[in-house]
Amino acid sequence: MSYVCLWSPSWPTGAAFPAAIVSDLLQHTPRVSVGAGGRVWADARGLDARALTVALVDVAHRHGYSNAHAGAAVTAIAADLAATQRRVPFTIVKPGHDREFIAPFPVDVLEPSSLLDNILDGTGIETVGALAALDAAHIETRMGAEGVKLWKLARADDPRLLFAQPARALPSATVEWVDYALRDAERLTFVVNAQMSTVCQRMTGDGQRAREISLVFALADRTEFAHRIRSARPTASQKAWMRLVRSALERITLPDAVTGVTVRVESVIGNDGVQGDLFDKGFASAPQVERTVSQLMDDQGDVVLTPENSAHPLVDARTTWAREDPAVAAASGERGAAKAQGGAKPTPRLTLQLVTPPRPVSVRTAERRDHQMPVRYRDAGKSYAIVDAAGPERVSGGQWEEGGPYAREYFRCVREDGMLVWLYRDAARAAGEWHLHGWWD
Amino acid sequence: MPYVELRAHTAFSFGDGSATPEALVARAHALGYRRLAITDTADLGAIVRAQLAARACDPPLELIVGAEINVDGKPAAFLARNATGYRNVAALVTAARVGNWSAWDKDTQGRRRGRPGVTWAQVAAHAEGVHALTGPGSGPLAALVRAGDEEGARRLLREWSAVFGRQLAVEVQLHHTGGAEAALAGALVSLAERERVPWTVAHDPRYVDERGRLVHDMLTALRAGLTMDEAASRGTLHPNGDWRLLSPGEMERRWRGRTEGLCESVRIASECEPVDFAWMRPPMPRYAVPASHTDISFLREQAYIGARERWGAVTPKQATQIERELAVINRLGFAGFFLVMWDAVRFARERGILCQGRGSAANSVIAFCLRITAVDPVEHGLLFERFLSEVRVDGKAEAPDIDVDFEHDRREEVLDYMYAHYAREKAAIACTVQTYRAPNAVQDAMRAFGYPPELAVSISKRLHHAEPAEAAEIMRDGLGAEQGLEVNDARGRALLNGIAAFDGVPRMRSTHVGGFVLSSEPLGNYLPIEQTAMGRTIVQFDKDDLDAVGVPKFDFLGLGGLSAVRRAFDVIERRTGTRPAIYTLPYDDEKTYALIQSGETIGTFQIESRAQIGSILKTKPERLYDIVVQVALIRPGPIQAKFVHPYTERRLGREAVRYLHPALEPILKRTQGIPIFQEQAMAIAMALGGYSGGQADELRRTMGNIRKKERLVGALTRLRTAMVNRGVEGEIADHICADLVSFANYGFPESHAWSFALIAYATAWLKAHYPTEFFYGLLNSWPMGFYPVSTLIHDAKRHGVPLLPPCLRDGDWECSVEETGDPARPALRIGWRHVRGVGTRVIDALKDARMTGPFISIADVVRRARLSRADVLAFARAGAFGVWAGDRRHAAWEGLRAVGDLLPLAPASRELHSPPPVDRDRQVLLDYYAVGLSLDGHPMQTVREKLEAGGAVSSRDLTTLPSGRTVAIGGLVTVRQRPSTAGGTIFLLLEDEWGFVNVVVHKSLVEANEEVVKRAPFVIVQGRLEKDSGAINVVGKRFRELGVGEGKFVHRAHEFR
Repeated sequence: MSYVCLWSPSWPTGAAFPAAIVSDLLQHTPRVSVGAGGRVWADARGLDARALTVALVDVAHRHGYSNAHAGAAVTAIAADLAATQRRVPFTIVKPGHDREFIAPFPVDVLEPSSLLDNILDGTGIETVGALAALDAAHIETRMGAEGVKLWKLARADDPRLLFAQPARALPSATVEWVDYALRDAERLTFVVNAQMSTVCQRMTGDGQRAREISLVFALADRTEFAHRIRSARPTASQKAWMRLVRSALERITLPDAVTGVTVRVESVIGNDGVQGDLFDKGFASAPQVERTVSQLMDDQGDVVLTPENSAHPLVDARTTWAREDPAVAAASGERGAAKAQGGAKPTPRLTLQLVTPPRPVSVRTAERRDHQMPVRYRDAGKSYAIVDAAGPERVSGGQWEEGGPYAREYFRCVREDGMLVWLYRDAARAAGEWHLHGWWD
Repeated sequence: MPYVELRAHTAFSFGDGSATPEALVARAHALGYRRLAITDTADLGAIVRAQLAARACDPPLELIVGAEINVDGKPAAFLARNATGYRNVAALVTAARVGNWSAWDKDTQGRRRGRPGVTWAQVAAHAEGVHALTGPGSGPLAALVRAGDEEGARRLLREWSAVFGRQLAVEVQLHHTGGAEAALAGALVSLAERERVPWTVAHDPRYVDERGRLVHDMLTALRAGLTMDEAASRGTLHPNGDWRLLSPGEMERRWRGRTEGLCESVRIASECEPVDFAWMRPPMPRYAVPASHTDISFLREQAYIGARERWGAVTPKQATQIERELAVINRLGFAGFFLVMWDAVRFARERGILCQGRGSAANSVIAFCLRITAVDPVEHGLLFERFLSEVRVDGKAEAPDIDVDFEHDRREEVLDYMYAHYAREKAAIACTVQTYRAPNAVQDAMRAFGYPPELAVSISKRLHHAEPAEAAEIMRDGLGAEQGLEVNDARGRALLNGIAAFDGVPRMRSTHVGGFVLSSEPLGNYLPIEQTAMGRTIVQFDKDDLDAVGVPKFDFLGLGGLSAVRRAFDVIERRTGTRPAIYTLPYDDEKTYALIQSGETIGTFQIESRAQIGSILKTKPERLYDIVVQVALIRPGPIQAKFVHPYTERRLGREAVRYLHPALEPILKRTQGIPIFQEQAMAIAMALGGYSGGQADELRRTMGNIRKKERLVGALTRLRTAMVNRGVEGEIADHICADLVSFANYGFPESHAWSFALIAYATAWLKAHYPTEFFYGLLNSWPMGFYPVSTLIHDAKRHGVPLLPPCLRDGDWECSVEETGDPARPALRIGWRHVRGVGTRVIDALKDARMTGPFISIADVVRRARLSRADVLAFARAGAFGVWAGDRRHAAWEGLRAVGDLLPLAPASRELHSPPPVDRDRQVLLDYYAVGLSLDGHPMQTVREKLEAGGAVSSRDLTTLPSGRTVAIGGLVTVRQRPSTAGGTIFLLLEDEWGFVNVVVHKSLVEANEEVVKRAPFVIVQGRLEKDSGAINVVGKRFRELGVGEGKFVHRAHEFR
């Protein structure tokens, strides 16, 4: 028996499914998966299906879901229908009888698309069995590839593998001693090197490269101290790993003397390229760096962030960091002003240095046309006279934004000491508070 | 410092302005403006409403008309200095919208895309009387300045100066958006001064307040296909709210130190004459009369020819009326108008298109003689003044109101003839301005704020008939939360504000159902014209605007009822060799009146609604005039005035007819002493108040305008005074005036009722004598009328019409009539177009395919018409392959094989599978699922047994049960009606396998049962049975949805207000 499906019409689905139930179910089965529509799948391989089914239903009942049903079958579709379509607490589908079991159910239970549903309805194919009994060629002609897929399902030919094969144990090597305790790094390195040799040989033999290795030290006080080492590039090279180990042992301080060492590989990838450490002087080269960065991007996904500047009226809302396709990022090469200007040489200009967040300042103003112009401001206890002010530049809007509506009147001001500062009046507040938002240098 | 805003925009800039014309004018007036120019984007649609609002201001605001138009892709503004200037501006707007008339092609023009614009050469050709402004920061001049092309800017300015001379100003704007704008303003001023061209300040406002800004932002985002967030971050929205209308004082402060631009705005405005409606009136179209004739002499000749055809010898009374009308028509200059209308009707008649004048035109004997109308006003004593009055409005006589109904689906032929005969550029149709209603306000606002479309649709569906502001309230009060919408966060609050702010904002233009405008000159020189997606041309003014301006319209309306009658006549002629004529039917036909009196009028014209049937069952019409009254009686006016009951009682002789004054007897005698028609209101004013015909018509028009109640009160007060002065007792005068108030709410002219009654009688006659042909005409003209197709089919069955399913071999895309063994009972075969899920593309493909020969098999249909799997299923389920495969499932199986068999040289196996048999009940449900109707039965029969076990009755049982008894009855909701006159009460029409029953849902129960009474397809109702003179109602108390058809049942009730 492969699967047990446990289902209740009343329990929460998806992410809201109670973790406590999963935890209790795991007492009975090594793997549990919460699927669509409130179906909870348990891995029944190698277990007594009946006992497991009873136990799982019991867990559900104990959590207050007395209407939970369970079905066990070799195929997922049969287990699914046994749980969701039958009104008995549990159903065990005998191995080899899955197709027979699902045949009487209405064909809707296979959840066809609306067009397919329409076709099935219109041609009088009402049950799973009626669909399964038809010839594949007939189905393909009339219902296309989707119809064939459904037809296979109707024949209990369910290709789903709900639980992946158990992960293979990763290489590790342990040595323990009782008659003495090691404290100096040199000797410790020697011991680790011997274990590392075992581990790296095993990896090489398995065609693997380690991405991360743990050094676990058994201490004299009967506790353990673990330290993880990551290589910039996955490798099975004992030399490379030992360079990292030595470097690590120089940095870490062990709380007590060591009575045992375990070298344990935490994650591996397939061995398909040249291995080495990017930061290893004996290994690093321009092509290696390039390859390493590419590998990083491949492994880590969209980790390249680039600033995107919008034309939002508020300067502080203009820049957002967005993911960029690493290939595009790698190809573009140029960054910052040069990129923005399409490769043209940047023209010499003052750079606006923003004050984040804008700093409240007290401002004295004078009336000019239809606005109040700043003539002096006080910031951090110092008073600055403004000899000229350009503005106002008004920005307002954002009634729908969580920060509330904004309305600012910006002025570019020249202080008497020649400094160019950027002030604004917050017109959204009745008091019209002034802020220093930046300066140019 | 005075200032005139020369560049105001309204919501008629569609997407680039949010103030209604009235709001803009009111705000301008409040801010102290005495002059204002409107320059919408290639649009003049606001000016009539703005001018009416401006006139109403105290003191009046002088309105200057203009438009912003793209010249070679960049916007500039043009103001009309006088009538010539207005016509040039209108011509430019028209040219921008419709392009080149000489290259006009109806089929390709509708696909013309891009922003409206003109070339500089077109501008130069229309410069007379126009004051040009160089446009905003994106305008042609500013664009060159911004690009640093000083020489180019100078050259352009000189080029414009050479054309416009001193009627040109450099436009300078300042919205405090930053240094670049200020620098541009400074550069433009310097350039103007160097080139000695005046420069003027303009503010280019798009709204009048913050709410307006929100609408403007939403419209801007929607136009760009963005959400508000995206639009804000891309800089698509205005950066601040400075595009609102500022007061002259605010403008003075903004431009202090450089006030020359303000002064220039005043100078420009002073040189522009305030807009005058007379500028907009195009010359009347000319009918090419023979050389020896003038318009009036030719009209006289045609009138007398027609009179002799109508009456034989013309009596002195008839001749007197003809001459009297001709004199008035001649004095008002409308002879050409009559001849053009006559021409259209003549064309229709020659083509065999049924047509008939309606409305007040039926009061005219000239219209009758010209065969524009069908009612003899002399015989029926109809009042000519109701049709044409010599009262002058705005210095001009009101144009005659001739509405002619043509067969709905052949109206386009008449329009094409008018376009062709009177020249495309001299003809256009009035537009209809659609303002935001709750559903589209909710959907647009939610789209702008980035909410999921499904949520927007779900909410908007629950807000039908509400105004946007009302919708926002409903959402705030619970609908939002109910639908999972957070209305208390910033976005939710802004959304509700945005929805409410859409109130009254125009959304789009569409084509008016009738109003054709014709002229002897290119129409676009008087009235701005634009094109529609269908390749028609429409005037940017709506019907009310045209009325206000005094532009006569030729109302060519489409009427499904006429299409139905013509189609039925066609079949009768084909089957019997005799073609009935709509106006020569026997008006004393017993069988017809028996049918009407029994209330079996479903499908007939005008007398088919449940309210009409309920009334007919009581009034028992027995002559044509009863139907005339019936058509006018069941209307909001008489219903609200509570005239229906006394009329019915008096008609049946159960109540004595009384007259408030002896002089009322000749006027009201034919309607049992009750004023039902507008002509009667006018006649009362003339008889008791001493009004002239013109004054009486003025009173009628005042009464007809429901939105101006204060004017109605004033008019009735004057009438009361006039009556009292002429010796009528005050109390009686009060009573009469109170009766006349009902006309403020949709009263019918008698002439109109006569026109409709003739068609109503014709349809009833057809139903009584030729039911198959009647339903053939009706179903092929559908959608029309009150009922869904399924109801009409059930009614056909009840009237003994043999029905056949759709058939791809023997049938047609429309319903068809087939002979049976009984010549008196031909069968009606349902047309392909009634198969649910089959669109026009498939129907067209089938029509094309069948032109090469009849279909011979399922595979043949699939192959030749290239049907898809979905099409095959739809036809199979509807039984349309029945002639080749009796079992619908086998037909679908075979059809699907044909669709998927891509290797014809190695065909797939034709082996059948054996689906289980389908019982009748299930077949009925499948039929409804496939076609929306069933020939085998009614879905209610599938639950009848269960209902009976629960004590529920059927509509058949109701006839024998006593009134007052509590009953439970279930049915399919075919019609939901919530008339405005019913104060929130909803009327449901439930249909079962035996007939219908009306269910009344009082307002107090609507809210508690909203989901059921407003949305459920099947309902079971418990309530009190009420019977009155054959009319049967159930006054509901409890309501529950009835589960029929495994949730797959597809049916949509007709919703009415």
